[in-house]
Amino acid sequence: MKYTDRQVHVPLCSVSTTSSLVNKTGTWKSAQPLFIDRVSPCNQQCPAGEDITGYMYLVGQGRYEEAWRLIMEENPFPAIMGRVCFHTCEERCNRTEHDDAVSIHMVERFIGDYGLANSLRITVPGPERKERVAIVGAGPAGLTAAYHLRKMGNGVSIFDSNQKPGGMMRYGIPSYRLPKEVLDGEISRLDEMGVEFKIAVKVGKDVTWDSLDNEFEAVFMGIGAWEETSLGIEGLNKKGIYNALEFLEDINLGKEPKIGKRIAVIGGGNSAIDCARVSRRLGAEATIVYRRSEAEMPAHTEEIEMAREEGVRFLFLASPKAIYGEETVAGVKLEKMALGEMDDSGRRRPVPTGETFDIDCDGMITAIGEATRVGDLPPFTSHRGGVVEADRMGQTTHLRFFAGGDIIDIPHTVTHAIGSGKRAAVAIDRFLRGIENDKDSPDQFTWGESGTINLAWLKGTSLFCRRNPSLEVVDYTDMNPFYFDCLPGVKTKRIPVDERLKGFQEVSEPFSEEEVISEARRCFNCGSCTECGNCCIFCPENSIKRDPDGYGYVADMDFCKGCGICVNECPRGAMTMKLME
Amino acid sequence: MRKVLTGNQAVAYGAMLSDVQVVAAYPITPQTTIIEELADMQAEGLADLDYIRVESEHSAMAACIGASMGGVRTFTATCGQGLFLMHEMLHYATGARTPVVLANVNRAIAAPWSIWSDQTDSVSQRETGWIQLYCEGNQEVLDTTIMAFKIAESLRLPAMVILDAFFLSHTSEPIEIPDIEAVRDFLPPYDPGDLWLDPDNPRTFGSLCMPDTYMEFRWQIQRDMERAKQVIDEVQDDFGRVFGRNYRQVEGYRSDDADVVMVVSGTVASTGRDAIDFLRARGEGVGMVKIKTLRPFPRQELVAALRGKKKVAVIDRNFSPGATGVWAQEIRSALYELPEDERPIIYGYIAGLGGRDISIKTIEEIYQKTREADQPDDVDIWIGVNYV
Amino acid sequence: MYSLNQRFNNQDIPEDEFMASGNSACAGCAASLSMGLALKGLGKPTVLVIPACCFTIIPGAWPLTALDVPVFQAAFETTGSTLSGIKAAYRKRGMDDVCVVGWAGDGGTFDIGIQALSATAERNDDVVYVCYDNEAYMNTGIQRSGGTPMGAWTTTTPVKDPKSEPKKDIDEIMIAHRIPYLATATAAYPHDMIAKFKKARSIKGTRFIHLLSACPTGWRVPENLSIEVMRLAVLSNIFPLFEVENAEIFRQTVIPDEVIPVERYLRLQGRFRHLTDEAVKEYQKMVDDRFERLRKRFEITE
Repeated sequence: MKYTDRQVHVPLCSVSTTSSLVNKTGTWKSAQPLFIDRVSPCNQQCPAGEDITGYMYLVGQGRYEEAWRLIMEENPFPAIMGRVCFHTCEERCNRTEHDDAVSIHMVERFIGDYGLANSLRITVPGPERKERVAIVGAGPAGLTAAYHLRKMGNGVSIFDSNQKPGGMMRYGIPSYRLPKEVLDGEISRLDEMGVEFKIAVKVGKDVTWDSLDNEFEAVFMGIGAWEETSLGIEGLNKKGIYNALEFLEDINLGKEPKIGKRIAVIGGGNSAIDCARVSRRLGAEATIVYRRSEAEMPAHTEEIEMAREEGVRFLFLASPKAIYGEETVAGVKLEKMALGEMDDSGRRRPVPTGETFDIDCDGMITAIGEATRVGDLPPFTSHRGGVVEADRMGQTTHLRFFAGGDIIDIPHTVTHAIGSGKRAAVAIDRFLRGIENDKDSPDQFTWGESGTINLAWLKGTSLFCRRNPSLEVVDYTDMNPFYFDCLPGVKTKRIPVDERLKGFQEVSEPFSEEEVISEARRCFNCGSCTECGNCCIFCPENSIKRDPDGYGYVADMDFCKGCGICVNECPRGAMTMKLME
Repeated sequence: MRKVLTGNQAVAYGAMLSDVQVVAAYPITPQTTIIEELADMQAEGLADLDYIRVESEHSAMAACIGASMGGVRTFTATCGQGLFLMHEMLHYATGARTPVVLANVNRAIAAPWSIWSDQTDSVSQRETGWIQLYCEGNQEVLDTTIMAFKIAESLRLPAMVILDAFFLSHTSEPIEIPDIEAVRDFLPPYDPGDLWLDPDNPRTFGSLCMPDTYMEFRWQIQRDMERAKQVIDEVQDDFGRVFGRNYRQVEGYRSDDADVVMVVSGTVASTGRDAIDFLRARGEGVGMVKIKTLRPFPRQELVAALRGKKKVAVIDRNFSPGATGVWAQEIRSALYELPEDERPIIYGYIAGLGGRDISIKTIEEIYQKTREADQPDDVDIWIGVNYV
Repeated sequence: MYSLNQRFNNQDIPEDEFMASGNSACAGCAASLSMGLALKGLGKPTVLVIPACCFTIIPGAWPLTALDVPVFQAAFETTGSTLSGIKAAYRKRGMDDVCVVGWAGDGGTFDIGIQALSATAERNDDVVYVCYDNEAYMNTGIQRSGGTPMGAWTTTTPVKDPKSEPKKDIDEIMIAHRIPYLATATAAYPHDMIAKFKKARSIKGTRFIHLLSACPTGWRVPENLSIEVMRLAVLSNIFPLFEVENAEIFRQTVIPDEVIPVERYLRLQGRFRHLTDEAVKEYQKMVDDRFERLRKRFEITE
């Protein structure tokens, strides 16, 4: 029987032996997954531009030196930072919506101390370029600018009028918050990097600004705010009355200020808290007098809390009107205040009530704010009431001159100063290389609300894959919280109050290694691919594979059907779906 | 060795001698003694087989298909309702090209309940792609069971050995039981070749076929069914040479010089031989043709056997409501290719349903009706029915 | 290395891949994912029996296949008996080490295949039976099955007359067979699932694994949420993850940190959209009651 002449190349039964890989199901999709590296809220707000999620990841794996080096890419002072930074990062931590914020500062402190204990060093690339930069002021801004400029290959000389470098970190912060050996240890690394220190040289007096302008290719001014704002009432010259800067400087120089046993500290900022807590350590009673209520205090909550623990008393809604006493202060006349409308800072304004009362005291410290000594600025610098006019990168109207730290319009914190020093270093380096610093350029390489620069991001050398960086900030709702167990955070431990009051021993106890690792592992690493593998494991198409050439994963678009499971199951919001054209 | 065996025992012996490896079966009267016998043989160590006592005939066939896919020789037995329940899987076995052998004891279909002989169960499976081998006596049952494995395995098509309920299944006859070593020489161990679930060879059997590929697989079944006619002949010839018993797909009995030829299958052939002898003795020009295979249908042999005969009377112990007996349908269709002058007139008779006896008298009656009528009264003529 | 996932250590997931890209599953299909994970747990040598179900289509039409293990595509109701047949053949061939695995949908298990399955389990044949339960006849277009949960819309239980009977409790049915191993699992918990397949492989006799397998098309959930919805099923105790050995030892393998209301599970899916708040309350009670019965047994045996 003839059926057909056609040759049929089929097996006896329908047995399939060809892999389905010939079936390119990728054509089905209308949207495709994209690996994206977004900014975590902690990183976004970090005034110093640190990659917090990055070093948390490394610390979690016990890779301390790498973690230290990652911080050192951005900030030369991790041991200092871990102690004095008010860690606003922790307020923004996405983990707060899950259980507790990660104790970022304690991890950073551990890493900083690890660097000091193991004498870790930064090697500077050579050869040095001929361009030299003068840094005026060896405070956090100046030192940071010097550090980064030096790392970028520039010669740097740093001038400071004090006997030792450190600026406010040395003279403004009591050592129970920042021990001097930590400060010295971190600053000494700059010495080793070949930064030329010109100490006890006051620019404007020992050296003229003009000579710097002539001798150096660029000048960074970070002279700080060393003038205490006056209370503006009679009798401030009486004995027993200090301003906060003088008082803290004396303490930090090891002098015993002659102050009484019952101290009134006027002001509500961190300096006021410092003064009150130091007074307690000198054996005095201390009362903070503040014209608004506790909610409006600019001082950091933890500082207020520790002050309370140490017996500092608070008198709110009171404003000094007169000082009693003959030669020595004996009391203050205070006016009761009430809270009125919101002011520009978003806090309720104190309104005088006319009603007064008196308190007794035999010592008084005014701590109502600091400003730049206008006379210390170069004559050609344009400023408004001591706030130097500068662009977002710190370049002043005198283009060779850059400014940072407390003399520009940023919050007066060490961390902000460090951030401004780094920004200026980038601007100076670009200036020296002849790259124009037009007004838009910062936007191209800054992240964060304060225009903070993360250098690794800028250079594309971040720890996490940066194949598709985005400046979008990751919110808790972008994450898949299921993948994170609820684990309460490790609480910071403080030494007992009676121990604290005996002297200037550091108050916060360090975390143990176990505690540090446990905290670091709690970090969500928001927005960064940590190669957890979820995208790969949950892909029903088996189309996501480890990137054979590097970090992270690749999705094979030949097969991806665009379901988006990978994006939903990415624990940390490091993926997104993109509609296809 | 000679033994007195029932038809069902003959089936069991045939399976045992064929070294069947997996049996999956479910009891149903009158098949039960086949699977009881096999269970005993396994228990006694006479048969080295794995016995799956399934919960239904459907599962019996499914398990057989699975086992056959696993690369072993596989057997089951059933009848009537059981075969109907298996129907889906009969098709499946063919499509999967699993050479399962099944013994079907012809049993009438319910309702109403009947456990007695009738071919309606097996002829209803015409389109399933199974080779169907009908047996006349218990010796043929045993021999056919052995041959069925060889035929099925060489074609990779399933085969059905068919015997009449009670007339064979429960009737004892002296049987020559072949020597097992001789059977092993005749029927070597099953070699599935490449088509089995080899765990080291990841392939998907039974993949979905789109309209552009499905027909090629069905065509191959038909190609091999046509080839089966030759294979069956070869196997029967081989069997004859080795064991001295010869079987044909179409076998004539005193038909060469007959004007009227009765066409029969199964045990009717046995009665038929006596009936023909009786009628011949009376001087009638009658002969008989026994057909062994319904599928593949032996058209050419049948045409050769019936060419030029005046009348052909087909006895169907089955029927297709609204049409005719199945054998009659097939024969009419086959003989149509003959030129008109050589084409016999076909008389289709329905007889013996539900175990009603087809005796010599019945056959005589059929012969008489055929001889007397120039043309058949009807497309099918029911014999011995009290019309109501 | 610590677990970067924090909840799961994905480094434990075997790298072997037995399910290739290019399969024909719908986007977001949990069944194709489940197959890949199951085979990671089972390893080789493994042979699959797949009856009529979505997986008739998913591996691809002839001559393609996405599966890197031998497969027999069987008739709808025959998974159990086909498994028994294949296992018997391997036993005869001295290949008892081959793990013979059935992979059937809820229709093929709860409904049409339950007879063969029950018989296989009753004989305690040495096979693994996996039911990937997508809770309706999805391959044919979302018709109601015995696995369809109460209240669900399907194309044969329209919104005006949704399924009024609770889901058939296949786990209890199988436990009643006193098989050596039964487990529930879902791809939303891949580690748990893989561990159960590994364990199943190490046990002799009939093993039954009941997988919840989301069908975005039939459940009316967005494709990207198929893992999410299965996770919610576990967290709400709709589909608790447990294992049972010899119908005696009951063990809950994933205990949610916090049990969520079933409402969250139901409201994510279009097939339950018509449920009134009152109906959701009743649903909660039904789920609680069933879980309570299970919980007592977890307690007794732990």
